[in-house]
Amino acid sequence: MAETVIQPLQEDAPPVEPPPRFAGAVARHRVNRAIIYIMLWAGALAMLFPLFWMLLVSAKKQFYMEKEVVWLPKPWIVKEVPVEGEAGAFRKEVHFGLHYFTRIFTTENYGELLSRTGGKSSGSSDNFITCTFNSFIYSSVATLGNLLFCSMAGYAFAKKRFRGNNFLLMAILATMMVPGIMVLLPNFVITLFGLHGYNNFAGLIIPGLASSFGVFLMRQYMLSIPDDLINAAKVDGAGEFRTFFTIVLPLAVPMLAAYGILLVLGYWNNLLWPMVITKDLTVLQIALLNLREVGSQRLGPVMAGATISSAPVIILFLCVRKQFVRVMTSGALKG
Amino acid sequence: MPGKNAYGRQPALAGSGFLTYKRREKFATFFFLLPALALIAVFSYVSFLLTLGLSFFGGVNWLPTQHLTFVGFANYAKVLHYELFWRSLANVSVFVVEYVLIALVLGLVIASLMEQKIKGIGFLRTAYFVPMVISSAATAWIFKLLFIKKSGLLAGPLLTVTSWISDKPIESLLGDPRSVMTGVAVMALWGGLGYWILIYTAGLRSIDPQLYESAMIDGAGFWRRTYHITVPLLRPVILFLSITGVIRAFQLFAIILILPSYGESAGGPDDATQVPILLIYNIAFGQRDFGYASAMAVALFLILLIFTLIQAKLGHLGKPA
Repeated sequence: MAETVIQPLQEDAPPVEPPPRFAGAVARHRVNRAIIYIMLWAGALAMLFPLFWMLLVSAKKQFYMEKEVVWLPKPWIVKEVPVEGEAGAFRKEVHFGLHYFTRIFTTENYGELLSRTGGKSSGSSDNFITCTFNSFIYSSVATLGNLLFCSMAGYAFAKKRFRGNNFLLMAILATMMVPGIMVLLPNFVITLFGLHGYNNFAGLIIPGLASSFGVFLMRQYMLSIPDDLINAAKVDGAGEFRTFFTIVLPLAVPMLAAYGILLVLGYWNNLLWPMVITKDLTVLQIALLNLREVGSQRLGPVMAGATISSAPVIILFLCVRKQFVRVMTSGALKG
Repeated sequence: MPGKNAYGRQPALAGSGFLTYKRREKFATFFFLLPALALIAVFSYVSFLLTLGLSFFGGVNWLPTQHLTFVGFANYAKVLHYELFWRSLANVSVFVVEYVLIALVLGLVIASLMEQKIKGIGFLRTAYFVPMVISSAATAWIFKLLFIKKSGLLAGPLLTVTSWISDKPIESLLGDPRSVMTGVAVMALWGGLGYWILIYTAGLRSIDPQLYESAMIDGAGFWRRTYHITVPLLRPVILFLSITGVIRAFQLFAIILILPSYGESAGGPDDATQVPILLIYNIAFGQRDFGYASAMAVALFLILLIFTLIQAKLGHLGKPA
């Protein structure tokens, strides 16, 4: 049976206790600790810096490529004030204050981005608001559908006895080893002719509605739901579907939430499939791609676009970091 | 009425008529499995076989007017003689080696440092993990901004550093064919390192802390403990990460698309960012030659398969008995 290499990570698990130290090693220990802290914090700042920079440039006044050095102006203004009584003499006054922010920061990048329609390169008339809406529909509908289908299959694999259970599960897991490019072209043809899915939400969403990883994840989780609970519901007269929707699904909410986050992120950031299957049903990532036209002149609006595309997922991540960590570490399959 | 219960019905176990309990259960199982299995069957298995099949046909176009002509291995011969294909493999190999090696080492170092009872670990974790959720498109734009020739924030330092070691210093990390793949690796590392740290952390948690304690009593320092305890015990994790890492890295695509300036086509400068997926994409949707593109996809798949087998073999070589 499929085994996992590692146990899913519970973020609150206590870290390994450092063993007792010996006298005389204390000084060395302190130096070591300092080095560890410096390395980790330097790394963390390096990871956060690009995001900070994105936000900053998106909110800064016009920035022309190759003309202006991209750094902040000094946070003060020097004014030359004539000295009273002495003609032609000037005194320098240094001003700090709020005007600094109004001098640098602006919302015009966002305004320009949102008011503009798709570039010449895209041939689409969608503006960024429409694209954000498209992305939102795409990722939410696809996530809900995927959760439903994967939990249904996971439930059957975990709790139903049928012939070929193990074989089918292995057959599903085997598809995780196949690189996406091996199925991309036929998927396009099937969606085009089988689903009439070119340039509409059906084609965008349906082919990705089930994932082998999701089925496996839900199966693993549902193994832990006691059989007695399910049988009790049946004795009480609940049918198969009622049992599934009122007993099993509510118990699986933690895993549904965790896997759902992964799905939302995946769909929101997906570029290749929308690029293949849509023409002017522009999702956010394609809109970012089409910003190359603006980007050759000014990067302010482009960074505004990057911010709009990143902000929802960053906020989502900050809210659900623990579930995210758990589901990310559930996928390490052996063999 | 006997058998009445909370749901006001007969117990489902009883069953009646044609729909006996067993039949009902069988039907339900079938219904539960159907959507996911059908989708996976069509969009994974059928598609996989279709790709294999299409690769033997010439002039396959996704317009239905086209006639299929069986060409045998001609498409494969074309792939093997296509210079750009080999060039693209070489390009992506640079990326794969840099990305996977650095992530393997750096991920382990950061993960083990994070396990040393650090204050502010919550903030540190967030900082290391948050780039994971940023899309490739946004990542590529941010790094393009940071490394723009002359005005980019990091372009100046890069120019200075490279001018010490080379007569032709690198003005723009992503505009110079010599450095562009390294630049792409930097982007991918920024966005991907969190995942490696995460998996390593989970692996480290599963190691018995007593092993470290006894090693410390024997006087082993951090590096010796890492080399003699952590690395051998993490062998399965390292193997998993390197195999899946290579497979994922070989499919580099999204970042490449944002790199060129407006009006230029992807793959530049000087074909230095031609990668296999981009070639396949262009042949399939630009030239509309699905047979040829499929053959290239199969070739890539076989190369990945060989890599995976080699890695698995190497991973099991030094396995403690």
